[in-house]
Amino acid sequence: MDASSTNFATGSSSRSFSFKVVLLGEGCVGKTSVVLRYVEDRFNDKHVTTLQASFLQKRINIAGRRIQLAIWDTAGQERFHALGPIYYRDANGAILVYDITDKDSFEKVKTWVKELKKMLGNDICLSIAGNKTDLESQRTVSTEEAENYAALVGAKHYHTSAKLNHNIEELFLDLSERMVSISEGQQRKPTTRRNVVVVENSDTSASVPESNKTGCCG
Amino acid sequence: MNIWFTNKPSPEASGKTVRRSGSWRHAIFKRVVSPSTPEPGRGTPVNYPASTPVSSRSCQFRQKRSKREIRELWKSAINQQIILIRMEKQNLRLKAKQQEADVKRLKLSYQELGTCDEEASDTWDLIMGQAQSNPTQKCDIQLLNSAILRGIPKHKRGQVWQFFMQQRKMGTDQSTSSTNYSHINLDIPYEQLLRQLTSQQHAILIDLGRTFPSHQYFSSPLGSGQLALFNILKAYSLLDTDVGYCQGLSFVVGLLLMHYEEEDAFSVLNYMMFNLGAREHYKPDMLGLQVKLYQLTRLIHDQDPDIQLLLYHNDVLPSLYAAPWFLTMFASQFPVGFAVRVLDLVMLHGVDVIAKFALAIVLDHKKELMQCNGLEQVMECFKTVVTQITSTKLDRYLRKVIDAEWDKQMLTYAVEYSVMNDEAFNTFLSESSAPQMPVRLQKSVSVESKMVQTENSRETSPTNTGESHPILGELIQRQNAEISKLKQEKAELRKDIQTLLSCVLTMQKLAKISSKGAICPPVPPQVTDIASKYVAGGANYFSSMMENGWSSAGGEINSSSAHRETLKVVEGIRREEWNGWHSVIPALSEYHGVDDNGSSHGIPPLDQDSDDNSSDHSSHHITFEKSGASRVGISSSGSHEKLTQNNNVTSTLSVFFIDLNRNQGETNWLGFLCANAILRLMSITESGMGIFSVSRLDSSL
Repeated sequence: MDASSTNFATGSSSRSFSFKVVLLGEGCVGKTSVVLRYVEDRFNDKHVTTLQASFLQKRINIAGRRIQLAIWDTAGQERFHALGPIYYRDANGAILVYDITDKDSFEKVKTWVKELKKMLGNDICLSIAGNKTDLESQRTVSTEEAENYAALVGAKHYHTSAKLNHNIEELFLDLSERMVSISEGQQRKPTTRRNVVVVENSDTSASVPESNKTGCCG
Repeated sequence: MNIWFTNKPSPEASGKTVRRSGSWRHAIFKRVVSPSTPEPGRGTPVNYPASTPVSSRSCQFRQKRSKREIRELWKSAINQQIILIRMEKQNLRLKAKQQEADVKRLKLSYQELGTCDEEASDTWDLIMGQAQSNPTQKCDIQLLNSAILRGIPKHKRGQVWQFFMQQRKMGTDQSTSSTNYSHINLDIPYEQLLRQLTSQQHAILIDLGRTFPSHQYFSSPLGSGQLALFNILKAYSLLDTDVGYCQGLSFVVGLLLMHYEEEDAFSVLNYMMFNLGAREHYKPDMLGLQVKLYQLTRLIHDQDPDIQLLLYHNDVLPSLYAAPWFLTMFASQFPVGFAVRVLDLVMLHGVDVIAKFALAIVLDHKKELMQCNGLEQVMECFKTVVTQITSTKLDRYLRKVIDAEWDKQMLTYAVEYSVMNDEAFNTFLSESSAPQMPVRLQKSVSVESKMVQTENSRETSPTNTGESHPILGELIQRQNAEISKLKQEKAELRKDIQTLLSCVLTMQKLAKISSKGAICPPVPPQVTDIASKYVAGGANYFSSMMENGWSSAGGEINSSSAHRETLKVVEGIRREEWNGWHSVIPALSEYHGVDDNGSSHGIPPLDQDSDDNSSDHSSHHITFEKSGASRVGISSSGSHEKLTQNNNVTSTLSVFFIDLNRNQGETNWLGFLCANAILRLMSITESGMGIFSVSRLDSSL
């Protein structure tokens, strides 16, 4: 039994996770702003257009689990998909962002959900973020419709404002929790034949040389 | 006021009437004559300015003025008034000019990189002056290159770019560039385009505030800069409906607007898109860009395999870091001062220059890149370290781009990319045992290959279109020869796989018999032969093992994991959605066909789990590089735990790297299967050997 052959790159410990999260959505709905707010806690309305993809990471702790989020911010324009599905390949979670003042951007979310479900099945955790709640007075996407849709496709819906730092933290936290529970579930499945204790065992001895692994096979 | 009304009897009465009826005349009069006009009504002589010729006369005969004199007086008054108005107009014009200059200065308010002295300005004057006096003679490219190296003063840049455009046009046949775009009417006037509405309006509008947001000219929301940007992008999207608007274009237009007026910028943009070939980058399929990214990968590999290996191992695809470089001509992430220097060369040599700059930049940062560990760090390095441009760095890049001779390779790789695409489709069409490809798909394939073809003919540098076609033909011929060679090799590889598979089975059986003993089954000579064929030093490995004796038998190998991995690979390929990989599937299904029969050649089917406490967990991590499909990397780590020996041997069959250095996926995969089979064989016989390290498969031609 090789404990290091878990699905995760961080492997040796079941209490540390590495997830890939991707932000998708139409142009100018605030994907970059959401990421910037979350990772660097700043808001800059003078950033340049995101071309292709950019990448940021964040480390968090949830109930003692160390989680490393690799967050991919993507270009909004459709033709960039011609360069390959690199954004969402192997993604554990996706945040679909729309602009509450832009009905079209919400429709775009629906096409994204379809595409992700088609390509990645149900393995991916979905969150939908209605961004720019600071422009509530100009809202064109009804809250009810958005939330109903999210529930329908099994996604969590959040109303966010990167500008006012509203609900951003919650959005990522919830997604991370769901990703952890999914991956823990996946880890447990194959261990039914083997032994859960074995995995825990090797956690504590992660730093101990390989010779100690005799225990796993005993 | 009696000056004017001397014929009136009563001066008092007339004075009143004058004030009533002649006040506007008076006003004009007052404006014309100097402000030192004496108070009216006292009859004192009016002190006319000396400049007016009439004044002296009117002074003399102020009591009696003839009609003629009065007319003269009026004439002079009117003349002066006209002069005044003219002066006011002139003033306004000057003010406008001043504003224009301010705008120009504002537009050019970017930081220049490196020093650009007076001498450079004179040099350009000289060069352009000479070219003007001899308009049929083309300027010496070497001369222009060295002048570019020394820099162009920014206030001259627009002019110099225009000059480059003329130089380029001189060398190319006008008809070639226009025939490619016969469906686009380039003669529609800009004004007319501006009057229309574009479907791309939303996409353009949302990018206005995100284009050079820190540049003063573009920073004010819907200010003159953003308006000009919008106009040009809109006009272009209407002119070239195939491209419409693509993100990244706004930066290119922005760079042009810094140096030109709106309409001129538009015509230069058209020139860049249609004559320099930038258009291919922005089309919805981004095929031109993909070719460029592929060229970049291959060039990095040629110039410095270490860097390519690092990027490859960290999954850093060129589209991740270099796509914005191409689309914005370095303007979005690099300083504007650098982007304009790149544009200097682009205007003269075409868009291939961008790939060369990208290559020079990547090569130049080897030290920093090699220190990176993991995708995150590499991307961070690209984002922060690489974009720091100093004048010394710039100088290095410029020299490298000008001096290096990468054109031939770039052409080869462009052709290679198209052949690779074509070949992948063709093999799929001819050999696929899978259900027939839908007609629609076939159509799109042929369309795409045609596009690749046109892409290639465009790739050939427009400056020497005449010569490039023979080169292209030769390259295609060479590629065809290579294809037939590869086909032969494929057949050979298939044979080898058969042999190896049968060997695997024999050895498994033998190993099972002697599972506890120290006797190891002898390695059949065929395996050694094949191993030496694919793995460098493979034969030695076996012979040394023979000499040292086999410490123990491996027990039964659990081939089900291998099977599972292969399935995973197939799944991976399917998910890749890259049609090229479909050509691989027949080969794999053949592999599985053997397997499923369970015949003497087969690998034990799935779920025939180990029953003697020995297991083999191998996790193969396979990555595909879409644009550099010639590589398939397999890192395999397997561990054996053998209770019978009471010690664990964790062996790492580590990085196993196939670099067949070519483009045919199928051959690669057969090579991979061979290699995998060898690996299996080795893991059977391997036990105390610890680490079997890196092998490099290189069956290059």
